[in-house]
Amino acid sequence: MIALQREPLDLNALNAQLESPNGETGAAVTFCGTVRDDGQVIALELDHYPAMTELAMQQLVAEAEQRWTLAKVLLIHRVGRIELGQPIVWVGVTSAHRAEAFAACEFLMDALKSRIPLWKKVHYHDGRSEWVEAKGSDAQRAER
Amino acid sequence: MKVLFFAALKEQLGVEQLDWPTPAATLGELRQQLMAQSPEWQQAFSRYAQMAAVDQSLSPDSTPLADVQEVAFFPRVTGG
Repeated sequence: MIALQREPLDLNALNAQLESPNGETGAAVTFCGTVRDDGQVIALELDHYPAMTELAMQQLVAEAEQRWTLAKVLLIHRVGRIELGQPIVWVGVTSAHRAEAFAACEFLMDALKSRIPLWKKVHYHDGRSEWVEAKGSDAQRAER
Repeated sequence: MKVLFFAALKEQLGVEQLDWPTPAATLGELRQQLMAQSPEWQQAFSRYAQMAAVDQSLSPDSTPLADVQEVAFFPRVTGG
């Protein structure tokens, strides 16, 4: 399941979706990305391509499901304005054993950072704002 | 053909979308046509149009544009 939402993420509700009360899956791996204070940061603003972003996220999840044997894959990303300390992105993966869940979770984050049409703008305390430049290290990680 | 711009490119151009009437054989040819409009377009594209999508799919400049409805240009993505 994927979602692109303006509202804050409900981490408890998301985690609850990964529970395995009957023991169907042995492993759940989650990643949560949060707005970090790189100095004078007050908030982020996320731009996206409405006709494409969710489609590309769905394709990414399908790719992970082909590559590894997974039970559940949840990929949730916020758009719009996100305050300091708030979650921006959340990935949750369950599988029978941990290796698949760890690998798929890392793949989803690396690929999201290099292939999904989302753009961050940083807002600072003094009223300035600027678009975040892509890091070369993210592109290299996505190649793996 | 509908052409869309996002993030820093959209802001720099002051344009969100336009209908481009001139035929272009490939994505690269369309890019050249758009850049040839003015020094401002040339500069904005050089800095902020490293990626592009053809009908909502990330595509290289060699992509043919026959029967294409929508093209988008944008800077390298920075989600996550």
